[in-house]
Amino acid sequence: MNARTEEKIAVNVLRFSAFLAIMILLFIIVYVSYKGMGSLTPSFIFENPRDMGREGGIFSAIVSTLYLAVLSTLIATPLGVGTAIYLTEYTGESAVTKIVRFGSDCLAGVPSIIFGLFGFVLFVIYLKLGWCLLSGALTMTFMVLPTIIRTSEEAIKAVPYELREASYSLGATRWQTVTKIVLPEAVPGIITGVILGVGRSISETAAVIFTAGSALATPGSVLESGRTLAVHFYIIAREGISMEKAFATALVLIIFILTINVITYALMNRYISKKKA
Amino acid sequence: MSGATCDEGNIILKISNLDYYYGSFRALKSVCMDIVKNTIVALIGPSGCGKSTLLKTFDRMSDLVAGSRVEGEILYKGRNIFDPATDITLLRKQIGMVFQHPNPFALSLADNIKFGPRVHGERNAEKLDWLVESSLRAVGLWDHLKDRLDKKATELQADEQQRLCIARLIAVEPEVLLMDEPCSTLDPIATLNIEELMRELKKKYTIVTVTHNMQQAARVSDYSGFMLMGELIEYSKTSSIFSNPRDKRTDDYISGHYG
Ligand SMILES: Nc1ncnc2c1ncn2[C@@H]1O[C@H](COP(=O)(O)OP(=O)(O)OP(=O)(O)O)[C@@H](O)[C@H]1O
Ligand SMILES: [Mg+2]
Repeated sequence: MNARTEEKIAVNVLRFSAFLAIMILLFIIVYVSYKGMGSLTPSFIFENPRDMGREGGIFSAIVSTLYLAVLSTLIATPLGVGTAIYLTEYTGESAVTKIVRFGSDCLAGVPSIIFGLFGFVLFVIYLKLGWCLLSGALTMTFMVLPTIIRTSEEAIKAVPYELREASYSLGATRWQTVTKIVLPEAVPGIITGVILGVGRSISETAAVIFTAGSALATPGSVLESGRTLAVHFYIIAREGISMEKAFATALVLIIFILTINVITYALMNRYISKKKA
Repeated sequence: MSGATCDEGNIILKISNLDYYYGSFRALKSVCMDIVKNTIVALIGPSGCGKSTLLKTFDRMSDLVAGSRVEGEILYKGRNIFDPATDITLLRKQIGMVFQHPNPFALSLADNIKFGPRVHGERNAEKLDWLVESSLRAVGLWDHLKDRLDKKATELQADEQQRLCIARLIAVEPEVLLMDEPCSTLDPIATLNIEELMRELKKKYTIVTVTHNMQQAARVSDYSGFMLMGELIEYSKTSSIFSNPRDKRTDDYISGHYG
C-alpha cells in the first residue's frame, strides 16, 4: 500500500469517527424530541405531577433540579478552585500536591452509587439531614469536585509564568498575584470545569435518589426532599408509569443541558474577545 | 576584585561573597561588586555564566526557584536584603525588574501601570492617574498613547510593550531597575530607543542590565562586569574594561573568542 492510499484511508477513518460523534448526538436529540414533543406543552412545564407522574407536568422536578444544580455548584466551585490554587500556586510540585492530586483522581473514578451510599450514611443518617436537596447537593459536590479541581488546575497552569514573574517583581504577594493576574486569565478554563460539573449533577440519578430522595412535591427549601428531572425520568420510565411523559421529561433535561452549554460558550467567547479587545 | 569602588557613600548595592546554588549546582561563586547610585552597570559574559541568576538575587526573585540557596550578603543602602526581617514586597518595590520578553498583563495600558501602586495600597484615583501619565511620559509613550489608555497592553508593538513594562515598574517609584536583556527581542532601531531611554532614566535610577551585545554594553553602561562560569572575573569602568581589560579571559571574550 503506498503512502497516498494510506493517507486517503486514514482521512476517511478519521472523518468517519468525527462524523459518528455528531451523528450519535443528533440521533439522540431527534429520537427524544420525536417521542417527547407530543407531551411537551406549557402545562407540562408549569404543572406539578399528579398520580405518580402519570398526569400533570414536571414543575416540581424542574425546581428540584435547579436547587440541586445551583447549590452544588455554589459549594463545589470555591472548594475546587481553592484546591487548584493551593496545589498550583502554593505547594509547588511537592509530595502534598501529588497526594492530593492522586486522591482527587481516584475520587473521579469512584462509581456514583458509592457516592450515593456515602452521602446517605454521612448526611442523611449521621448528620441527620434526612433525605433533602442539601444532602443531595453536598453529595454531588464531592462527585463533581475532582472535575473542577482538574480543569481549574490545568487552566491555572496554562497562565504564562512570565505574568506571575512580572507581578512578583512589582512586589505583589502570592494572593494578589493569584487573584488579580492568574485567576482572570484562567476563568474560561475554570468555567469549562464548572459546567462539566453542573451537567453531571443535573443528570445524576443513583446518588441523588439515595440522598435527596424522590418526593414529588415542589420543595419549599433545600431541607426538603425533591425529585430532579433525571430521577423523575428514571422512575416513571422504569416503573412504566408513562413513556410519553418520560420522554418529554428527557427532552426538557436535554434542552436544559444544551442551553447551559450554549450560554456558557457564548459567555466565554465574549469574555475571551473582551480580554483581547 | 571590586575595582570600581568610588566614594562609599554613593554605593547603593554592595554585594559581598555571594554564592548561589540551584540544588547542588553552584551558579554564583563568591561574587563581590559595588554598584554606584545613578549609574548603569552592564553584566556581560557567555550564555549560562550566571548573569540572570546574579540579577535575580538583587530583588530576591531568586527565592522563587524551588531548592535554591544563597550565601553571602547584599547590602541595599546598608541593609542586608537576606535578613529574615526584610519585607520582600517592599524590597521588590524598591528594586524592580524588566524581563527579556516584554510581559505586560492582559489588561489595559492604564491598569498595567496602576497594578503596582495598587498592590502597594494606593487607592487615590487622582494619584493613580497621575502615575499613569508621569510613568508613560518617562518612557516616551504618553504623547503617542494618551488617547488610548484603555487599549489592551498586549496589542502594542514589542518595543512599546517593553517600554510599558518599564513604565509599569517606574510607577511603583523604585530606586534600582534590573533589566535582563531588555532589547534582545527588539529590532536595532527599537534597541537604540531603549538605550536612549536608559541613559535618560539613570538620572533618577540606578540600572543594572544584562546584555549579550558588546557594543550595547560599551554604548550604554558606566561600569561593566564580565562573568564566566559563575564568577565575576572583572568589574570596572566600562571605558577601561573595553580598552584595557586586566584579565586575559575578559580580553578573549570582548574580542570575540567565546560564544
Ligand atoms: N532554575 C534553574 N535550575 C537549575 N539550574 C539553573 C536554573 N536556572 C539557571 N540554571 C543554571 O545556572 C547557570 C546560570 O544560568 P543563568 O540563567 O544565570 O545564565 P545567563 O548568564 O543569564 O545565561 P544567558 O546569557 O543564556 O541568559 C546555567 O548553567 C543554568 O543552566
Ligand atoms: Mg540570562
